[in-house]
Amino acid sequence: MVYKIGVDVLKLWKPYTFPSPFDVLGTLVRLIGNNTIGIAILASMKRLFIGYVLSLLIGAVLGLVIIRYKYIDQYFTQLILGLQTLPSVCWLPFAVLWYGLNEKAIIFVIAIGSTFSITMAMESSIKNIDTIYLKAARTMGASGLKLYRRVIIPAALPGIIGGMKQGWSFAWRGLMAGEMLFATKGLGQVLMIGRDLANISQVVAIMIVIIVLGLTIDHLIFGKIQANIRYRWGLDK
Amino acid sequence: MSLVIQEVSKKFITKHKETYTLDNINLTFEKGEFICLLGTSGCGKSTLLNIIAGLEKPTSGRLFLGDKEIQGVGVERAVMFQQDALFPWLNVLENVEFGMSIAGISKEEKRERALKYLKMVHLTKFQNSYIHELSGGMRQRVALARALTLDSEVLLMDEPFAALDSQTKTILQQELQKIWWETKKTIIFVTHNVEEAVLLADRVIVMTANPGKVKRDIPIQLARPRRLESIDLTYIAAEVMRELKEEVEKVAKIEYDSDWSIEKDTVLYHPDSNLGIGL
Ligand SMILES: Nc1ncnc2c1ncn2[C@@H]1O[C@H](COP(=O)(O)OP(=O)(O)OP(=O)(O)O)[C@@H](O)[C@H]1O
Ligand SMILES: [Mg+2]
Repeated sequence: MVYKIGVDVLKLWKPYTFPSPFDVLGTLVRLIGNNTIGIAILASMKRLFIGYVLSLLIGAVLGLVIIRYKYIDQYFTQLILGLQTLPSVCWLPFAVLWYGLNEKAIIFVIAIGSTFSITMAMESSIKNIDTIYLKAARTMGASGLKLYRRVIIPAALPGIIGGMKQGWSFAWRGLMAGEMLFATKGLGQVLMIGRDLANISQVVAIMIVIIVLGLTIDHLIFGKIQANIRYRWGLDK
Repeated sequence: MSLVIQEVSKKFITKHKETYTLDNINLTFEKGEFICLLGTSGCGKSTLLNIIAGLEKPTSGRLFLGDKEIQGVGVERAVMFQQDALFPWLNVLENVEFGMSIAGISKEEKRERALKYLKMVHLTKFQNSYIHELSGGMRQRVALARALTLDSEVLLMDEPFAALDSQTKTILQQELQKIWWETKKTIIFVTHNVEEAVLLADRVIVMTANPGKVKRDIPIQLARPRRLESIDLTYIAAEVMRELKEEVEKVAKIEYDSDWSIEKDTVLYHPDSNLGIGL
């Protein structure tokens, strides 16, 4: 309705710049029907997964190193804070130079986008642990690795999960940036085809898919974990 | 094994100033003694306790437990803090088992011992609860159970009941006396409450501030179990209170304006007004 009025009565926008909901729905059904979307989602998810897991590993290790060697902290943290604000698209030229126009480059962009979020979350949430937990644990004989595994990491977990969630959304953005430039499969690529063919319905259809996917994962995975942890830690009171 | 504190001093040096917190503390605690460290706020009770725990290093001086010098933390010295310091990511039972897990004790034995101590503090019903589901008093009981599990010889307690309401406090004081009786631990208990000190202790160590020193070492020779209402206890508490009052006044003079003075008759239980009761 709103759309119809916008196009026909008010002439606010042209049909080819903003598609009607019916066209979008039709395109969506067609894309699902011929399995374009299925294949694209699968390809994108695979990249996202690899890139994200990589960023978790690298981000966590980097965070722990910063915590462990305090003198790195002063200069390095500032640098990483700066890097974190850099949109992951900016890494694209780098990625292409290093890896060429291929899968690796996309995964690099995904990983680099979320790594620094995870590092920063790790660093700040470990730094802000209530020292009473550490004191108590030490008097009960915990030290070294055991102290990390049994106390420091669990105590910092609510903050770390927050960073993982933020990292995930950066990874998504990196994925889209990479795919729109040079992927042979994937959601970003289908989106670009829509643009190249001036098929605005297809563009919007893919955007909807991306939003729905993003929300679903955010809610189902991170939302659940976060709610669970917040309850356990008694943070919702 | 006795605990010996030898010429321990502590200075805190921060950006703004230097605080002389402990000055040449010399004390010997016998095995199984119940000691209360009593003193006004800021006189260095927590600092001394942390040094005994090994969480803090003395600037000079040495400490021995038996013939072993204390250097750093050790499981033979369990600590209970003013805040419960329980881990929110573990449930009650897992919290009590924590120290034993670190020590690598088998699962069955861990469970058995944890339940034994939870029973001692009457909390077996809550073994699967999370910490935030417990009241403040219950949390301190869990913390007490946790401190008992490692069978440490010394139990260090830093105002563990200070944040609790008086009924809960009374119950926990009774429980603690019983547990001390059953486990024969050396307990060093920090408090700024005179009645609490006299109720619990074999010896009350009165500390003075600026810098922290031992002012008096008062043996409390009252029969146990003791009750707060007992007249003997009140009588001794009044005596200790007088010691402390001088101290409070001294600190107040330093911290507040110089014309500050506590009215001479604020000590409620003056021994002379007791008409000879307790002689
Ligand atoms: N980490 C520290 N750095 C600097 N000064 C400190 C530190 N810890 C304690 N102090 C100082 O040492 C003094 C004694 O502190 P402490 O916490 O031992 O007192 P307390 O007797 O336990 O007092 P309260 O009854 O209020 O707990 C205080 O003047 C405090 O400012
Ligand atoms: Mg204190």
